Amino acid sequence: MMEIIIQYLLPSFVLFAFGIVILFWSFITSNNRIFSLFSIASGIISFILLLLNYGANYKYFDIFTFDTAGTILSLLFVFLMVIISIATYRFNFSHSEIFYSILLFSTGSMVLAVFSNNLISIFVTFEASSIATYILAAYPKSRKSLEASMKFFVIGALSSAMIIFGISFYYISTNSFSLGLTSNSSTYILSLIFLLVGFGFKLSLFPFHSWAIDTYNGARSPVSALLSTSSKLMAFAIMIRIFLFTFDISFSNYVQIFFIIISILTMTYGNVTALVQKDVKRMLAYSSVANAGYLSLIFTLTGENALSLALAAILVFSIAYILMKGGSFITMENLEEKGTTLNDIAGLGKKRPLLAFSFTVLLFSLAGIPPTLGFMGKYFLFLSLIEGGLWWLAIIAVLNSAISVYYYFRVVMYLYWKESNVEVEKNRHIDYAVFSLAILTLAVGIVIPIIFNSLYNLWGGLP
Amino acid sequence: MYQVEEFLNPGVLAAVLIFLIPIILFPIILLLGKKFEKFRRYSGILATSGIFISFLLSYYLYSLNESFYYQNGWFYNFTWGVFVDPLSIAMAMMVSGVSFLIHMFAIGYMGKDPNRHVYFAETSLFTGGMLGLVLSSNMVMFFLFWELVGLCSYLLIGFWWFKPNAASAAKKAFIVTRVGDVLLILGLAVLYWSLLPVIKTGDPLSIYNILKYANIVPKDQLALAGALVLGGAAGKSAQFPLHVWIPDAMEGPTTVSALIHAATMVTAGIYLVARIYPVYLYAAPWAGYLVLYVGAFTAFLAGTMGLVMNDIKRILAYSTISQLGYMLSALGLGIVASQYTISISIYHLIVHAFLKALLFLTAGAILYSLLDIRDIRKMGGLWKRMPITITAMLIGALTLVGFPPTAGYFSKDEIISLSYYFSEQNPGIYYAWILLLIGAFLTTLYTFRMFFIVALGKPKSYAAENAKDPPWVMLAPIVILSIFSLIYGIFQEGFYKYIGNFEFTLPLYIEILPFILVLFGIYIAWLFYGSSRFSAQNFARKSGFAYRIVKAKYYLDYLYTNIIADRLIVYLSYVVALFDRYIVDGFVNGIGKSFNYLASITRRLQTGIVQNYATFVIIGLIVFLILGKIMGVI
Repeated sequence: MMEIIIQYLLPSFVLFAFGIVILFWSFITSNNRIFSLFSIASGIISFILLLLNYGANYKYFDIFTFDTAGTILSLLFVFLMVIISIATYRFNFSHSEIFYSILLFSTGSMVLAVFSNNLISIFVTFEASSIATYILAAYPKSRKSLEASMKFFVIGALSSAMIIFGISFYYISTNSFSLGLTSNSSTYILSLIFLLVGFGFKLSLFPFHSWAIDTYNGARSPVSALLSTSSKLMAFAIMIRIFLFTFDISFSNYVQIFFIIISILTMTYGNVTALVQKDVKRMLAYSSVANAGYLSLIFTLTGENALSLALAAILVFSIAYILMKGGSFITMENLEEKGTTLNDIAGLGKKRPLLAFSFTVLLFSLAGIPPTLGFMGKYFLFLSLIEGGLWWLAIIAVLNSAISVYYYFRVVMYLYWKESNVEVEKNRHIDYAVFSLAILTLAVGIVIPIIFNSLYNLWGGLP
Repeated sequence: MYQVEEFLNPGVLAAVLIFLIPIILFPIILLLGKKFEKFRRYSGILATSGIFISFLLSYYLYSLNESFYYQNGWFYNFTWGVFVDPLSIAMAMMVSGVSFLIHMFAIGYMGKDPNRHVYFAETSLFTGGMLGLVLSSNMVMFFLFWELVGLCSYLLIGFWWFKPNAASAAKKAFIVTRVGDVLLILGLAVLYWSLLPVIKTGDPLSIYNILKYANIVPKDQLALAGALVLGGAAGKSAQFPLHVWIPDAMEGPTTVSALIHAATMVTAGIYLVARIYPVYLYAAPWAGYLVLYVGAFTAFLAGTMGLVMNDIKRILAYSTISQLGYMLSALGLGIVASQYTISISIYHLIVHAFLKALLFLTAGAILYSLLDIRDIRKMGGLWKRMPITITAMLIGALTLVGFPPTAGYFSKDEIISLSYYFSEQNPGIYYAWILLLIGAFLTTLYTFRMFFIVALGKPKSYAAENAKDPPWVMLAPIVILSIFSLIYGIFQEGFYKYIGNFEFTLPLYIEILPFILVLFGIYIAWLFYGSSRFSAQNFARKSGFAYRIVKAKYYLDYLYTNIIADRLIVYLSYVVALFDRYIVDGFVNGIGKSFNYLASITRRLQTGIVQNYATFVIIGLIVFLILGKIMGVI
């Protein structure tokens, strides 16, 4: 037993170990590039280890479920971490060992969190990654990032309290912490609502989203990339395990209605408010909220066919989301010093053709233009809505997607058809990082329709 | 007729390559010509050899002596593929063969044009589009190639775009054929919806299914579909009332006119009607009469207009319209009499392709040495100066009027005789016979009017005095086409057998009647234009009113341009523009504005104060708790 579980825990333990190594190494040198290389190396090792586990479906008591869907998400987290480390190779701040070690700690915790299958292990791993990200948001120390981190922390603490409440109610009604149990008591539903609020905070669903705008905007862009993608998808995977695989079918009706309201509000709020944003980074933050709305559409579904299609579609959407959202925020890192308003990015197509091209591809993907991966993700997701009989919700989602085209294309217009005399420094590493993400968005987008059938039934722990 | 399942079948591959090779050559020639200045002189040779390969492949299909079709899923329930039967093979061989000769001629004719790589790229695409149309197995695919042919004709007619006439002629051709295309697509829609319930599974617009199941579709639906499709065919094949674009299309290079009139484009409409022949055959009878009388009336009408033109190319253009009328009426005759007469129509189509290519190429040769003078009144006495060209022109003219033993005698007189034969059983066809007979007479008249003015008499311009035969690369196609025009009559029986036979016999005096009219027509033309015994001007002056009407092309152009387009469409567009500007744009802008307004409200939620955010979280929690309470689960 012990040998097997070590095989599955190793990918995240490698990250933890390297995080500690980086901390100790800072006594020897304070060279940012060394730490970045350490981080990249650890990411690659962890990535390979995760790949070796691909396709496994192993349950460790009721604590962890090592399924393929979780592996795919973990691979994405680690991949994004590597990309962030490449993009921040030329970071020039004091104590960057803190940044990298905490980046590794948080990613390692996220990898564990997506495999967790027990409310206690979920809470521990979730909190581990959350606390790490509070610190990350404050780095490098500036008034803006401190404010971002502070807001994040206050709302995060509140939400943790909600989660604890939810877990307590769950325990009261079922006498257990493991998922997949049901009870007819109203305490059970109460626990559901508290868990929804608690995890909804992380996913930035509508009434709990406010921190996200300020934090994504205020934090350093690579951190925003992490917060708006990996951290969010982690919460999302946890919610899938709790809400789709746990709760009794008799309650699913109420879950469905809650989530229909939430997803419509979240999509519409995010997209509509993004329309009037002059700051690209802030616009990306709002679009991130809108994307959380798309993600939460999966919880509105019932019926086996629709759900199995949606669970496969959501994997495509997650891959797309990590690539395009992470890439967009990393692009912002290049402009961080000068400002990220529309006027600042104007004419980037001439000044930095490669970066502008990659950013354009990512924006097309965000807007859902074929043949990018973003289109595929949305396509299969909306298809599952229609399959589940919620065609009107699919129409609302498509309309929202149409609204979003406006503000994404406005950015493209500024990139290529407007001029400004803002000097943009050249940063090769960011170019490569974003370019590789853009190419992947196109390449995977073309491959996905072919391999889509192999994405069915990858979520373990189905009741 | 059998279905070939696998794509890698020699027949299927050959059929696909026939149209794919010229189409692929389009970007290659265009890019190479753009990149390398020196390549341009070879562009003609490349295009010509590509089309020659297509011709060889068509011959290979012919030598297989099999009818088959291949189709594969495309989108929705439509398929794509190739449909190979004697009809399409004969068309493919004609199109590629004649197009090859015209391309060869164009190597000399367009040899000095600075943009000849563009020209050859476009003609190659034009021919490829036509070949694709001929071999399509599905009407949607057919329509795509049909549109490709239309697009290429637009590009080629306007090839000398710097001439304002050419630009407006190209536009006119495009718009007039577009009217036909709208009718065609409506017709295809009707066909789709009427075949769909009949075949249940599979592709309703696959030609195989149309041919197979047309007999069990309700007659009225078929007639409606057929009439609408005929509208499309009339647009492409320049039948009344959509014939107005052809005379203006003469503004393009002469070789383009030859391509349009002989090999590609205008034959597409006839081919379309022949291709879906059973649709008409099983339709309500009025569709057949429509086909017949559109054809017969056009044959007559275009003949009268040909009489009064002075532009050598326009005379030929009207003769094309008239001959297409004959082909269409041959089909119409068969439909009305419930017989398969496709072979007679297509035989005339092929003969006409030879002779019209011949006539246009000789006209091109004349223009080439006369420095683009197109007015026949400035020519004269060319027979002595360009003996080979004008002899070939005589052969072309004799073939056109149907003088025995040229091929035209076997093709055109057959149609006239056929109309008499059917009118004996069905008096409704009688008028068609008269129209076609008068048409034959008129054809003789204007053809020999043109020939006598051009060939005989004294040169009436400096250029005409110094005319001489063009170089061999241009003469060779002319000679080949002359030979074909002369001897193709011997293939009549074989051709009829190949496509599908329909035999009939008539008393000798009826058979000989068109020939007598031809002789009579040549004699009258000789009186007026060959010798100077009568003055045509005097005659025109005396018949002033009728002359003016015909000269003004029956005011049809005036009706279309000045009344329908200027008075009606322009005002209509004005109203539509207002609708677009205020209603549609207003609606779109209104949506944009309302979203912006909504956003200005929602953004206020983002106060930047963390206490408010915490409050939102709590409010959200409370709302959910209340909702749970209302729903009665807590």
